[in-house]
Amino acid sequence: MQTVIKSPRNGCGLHGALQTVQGIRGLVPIVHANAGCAVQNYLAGKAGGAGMGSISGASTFSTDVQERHVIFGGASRLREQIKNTIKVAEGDLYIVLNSCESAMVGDDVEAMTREAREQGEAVVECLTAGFHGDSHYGYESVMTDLVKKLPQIRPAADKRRIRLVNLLGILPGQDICFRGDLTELKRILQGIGAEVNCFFGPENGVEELVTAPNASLNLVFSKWGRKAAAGLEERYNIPSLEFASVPTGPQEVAAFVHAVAEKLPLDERVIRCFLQEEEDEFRYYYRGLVDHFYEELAGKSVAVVGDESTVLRVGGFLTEYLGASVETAVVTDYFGKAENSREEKSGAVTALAREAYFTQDSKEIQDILVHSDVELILGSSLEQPAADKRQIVSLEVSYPVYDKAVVNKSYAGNRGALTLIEDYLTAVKTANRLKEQRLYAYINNTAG
Amino acid sequence: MSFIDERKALTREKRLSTLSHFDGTLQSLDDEVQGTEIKQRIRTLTQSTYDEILYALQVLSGIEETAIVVHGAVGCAASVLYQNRQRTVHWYSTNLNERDTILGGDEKLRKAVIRAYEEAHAKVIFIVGTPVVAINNDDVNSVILELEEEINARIISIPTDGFKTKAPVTGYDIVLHGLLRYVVDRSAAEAADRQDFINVVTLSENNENVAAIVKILRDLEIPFQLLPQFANVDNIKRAGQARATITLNPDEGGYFAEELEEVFGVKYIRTSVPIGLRGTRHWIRKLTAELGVEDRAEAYIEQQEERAQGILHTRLLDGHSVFLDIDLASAVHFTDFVEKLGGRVSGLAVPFIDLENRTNLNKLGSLEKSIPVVIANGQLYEKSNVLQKHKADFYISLNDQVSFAAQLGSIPISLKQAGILGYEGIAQFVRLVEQSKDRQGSYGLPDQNSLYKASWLKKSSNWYVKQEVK
Repeated sequence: MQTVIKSPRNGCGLHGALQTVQGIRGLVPIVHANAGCAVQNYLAGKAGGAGMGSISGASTFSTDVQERHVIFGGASRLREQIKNTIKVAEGDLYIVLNSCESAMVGDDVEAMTREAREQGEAVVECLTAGFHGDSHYGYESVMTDLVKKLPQIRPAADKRRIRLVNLLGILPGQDICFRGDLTELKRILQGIGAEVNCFFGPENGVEELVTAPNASLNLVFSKWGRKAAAGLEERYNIPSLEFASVPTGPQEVAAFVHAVAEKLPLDERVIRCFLQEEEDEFRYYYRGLVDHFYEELAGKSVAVVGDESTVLRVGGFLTEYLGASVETAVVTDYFGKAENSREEKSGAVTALAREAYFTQDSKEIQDILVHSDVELILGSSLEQPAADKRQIVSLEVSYPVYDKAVVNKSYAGNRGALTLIEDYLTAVKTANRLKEQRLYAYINNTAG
Repeated sequence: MSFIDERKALTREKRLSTLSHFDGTLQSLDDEVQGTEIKQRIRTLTQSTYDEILYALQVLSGIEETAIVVHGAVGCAASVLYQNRQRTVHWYSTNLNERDTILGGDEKLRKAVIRAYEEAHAKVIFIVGTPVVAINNDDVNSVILELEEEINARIISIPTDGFKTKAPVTGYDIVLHGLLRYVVDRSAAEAADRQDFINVVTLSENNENVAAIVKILRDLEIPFQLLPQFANVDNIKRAGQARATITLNPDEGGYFAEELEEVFGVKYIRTSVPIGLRGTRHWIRKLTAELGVEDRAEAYIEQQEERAQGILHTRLLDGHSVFLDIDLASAVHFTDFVEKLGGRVSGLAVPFIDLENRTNLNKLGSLEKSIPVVIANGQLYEKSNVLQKHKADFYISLNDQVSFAAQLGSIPISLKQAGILGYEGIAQFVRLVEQSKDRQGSYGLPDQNSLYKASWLKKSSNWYVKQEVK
């Protein structure tokens, strides 16, 4: 059973869907909910650090349902809202997202969007009532629905594009570096000769969704991309490659590239050259820092808190490249519709960390961290009180992030790995300096 | 007439005939709101905006020694992440799922309240209602009755639902009603003499604005307590023993002040919003006259105004038109403030008008009756249309998300985090105008992609505002 949560960090299914839709250029959300639902999400997003799309908060079209719509039904209000939004808002595709209210009242959202479609309008729907799951579930639902329903309006060309891949499982907003990570993955994939549908970015995301069925491979970077990939596989016979997380670091990038190359007709020589250049670049920076590593990083024990893919990625990189031991891992995205994932994925996290926990309750997480023997916490701003209590340093790597603006920062690929090194080393240096100061004070106070 | 014996606060629509949807001119609005009731209107196209749940969560987050249980789906508590940035908020979500919407969420509610008590050691626990429990009709009061025997904390239902009012300010009333009914100490108020402090009611004001008012009160050596924001439970308990109550915005805090006066006999000092020289002067004079310390006030006002004149004489807005997006109570003195700086208010957007605050229209005498007036919470598509047709040099708003005005050629100024109240507010606002003017309102590249179709921007802005048919 889903339980009571102290200081929940994740929004509801509607919020996850909304964040996703807001990240896709050309897509206009129409929320069928009470007035405040989208603004709730906007305020949480403002606290989160990842920023929003051009349609968010007060610019989100919403039926703002009133009591009469709860009592008598809100379908006709939705019909009116769809019609009028299309007349006012520029967009290539409109998507109706429902809510707890409309689900409980039983509004026939599908009938309303079908009606608009029959009039030639590009409207689809996604039933993401908030109580169905959290924001991860919202991403999963809306991406699954988009790839399923968009071809009914904008059929894809018959031709398969042999080097085109779809990137799935990186969640806008929830992954604080989603923009930068997608950009880095795109750079890597284009570097080996592939074409990429990111869906989120400066390109028109709706056009990329239209071409999604033409792709030859789905690349899935978290469990939340699985369902959309399965839909594409089932309908269009597009195979999928799933990764536990986004590749970070040269070995992971090389493994990722080889895995992709096995599925696509890519030029081996191009791949070899690309990987060599990548590794050379990484080593150049890495070599310049390695003495610092021996001096500053030796024997550090850390706790990592965040979505499973973040924990595996950040924890994995720190262990593999920077000599840290992950004492504690807390996975905050195990529930929702995919409650079974707790069992499924606990193996990977347990293999990484000495102690693995699965909760998004901030009190439980704080208790875990306060009793963990770690020198650094890598998590969200909600872990700051635990770090303060332990008088240790924390580094923000997961949602929400209060005091940072994240634009195109990445912790993915080789370039993102260097950024992660930069941030981690900075945090460790701060931690070491504070430790030195404490030791100095101790010696001064107790000596003689 | 007191409402304290009512189980919950009435919506603003029921209590004051509040109108939240209108698009016309100052003249047509004036005509519209005459009479004993204000005719309701609706919009047939809407954008998301604050609802009363968000207003309630915002103010509850600012009360010390309390915990909030948001009884609903997990997303209904999402905005508290934002409030938690600046102060530690103890909040819980009952995290209702599909099964709970069918079978009820009482058990989860019970658990959440007990956790709030045990973990946060809260003296008061607020249970905030959401659409799910309102539709489902979860029996919150039974849980409260049962648990109040088990735990040593006051448990208060905040019966918000997100769909019974179009005026989010109702959320403040619902919270204040709960505080008046269950926290303010009635027996002490009846027994004790008045104590030497005043209540200063603050709800939506940001820290800059509250700090500016605190400075004035300190300078004048007036003992005070802020509430409900910045208050602890004891502050609220003793609100009924104060000498008087004053609000920073009568449209928001008036409900609390009026009830305190009627039920607890605490004098309500009715003032306007302390904005600009005139507004601040008026606020200080009314307050100090009530407390019998006018002499202290006059010397202070003189000294502060002399200082402020040095800033105002620059007439930064000389020859410039300003579209104001601000509440009606604040608009009165803000208009005066803008005019002091040489500007002219060329359009107005306010979130609501009602039977009580409509008198403020008479105080906007300096404005031309033909200027456009929009009554809306948010609805940026409509404001874009108005700004497209009635170009203004500046778009000044109490809200965030103002960048749309830059696309329409105005210099946007958001007062969301800036100070405008008191003497400090004068200096801060002038600085903000100065900086905005220097960079012509845009940050780097102007955004050329309008969200709205050109055909919409050519239509009448009131196209989607209709008379409500009951």
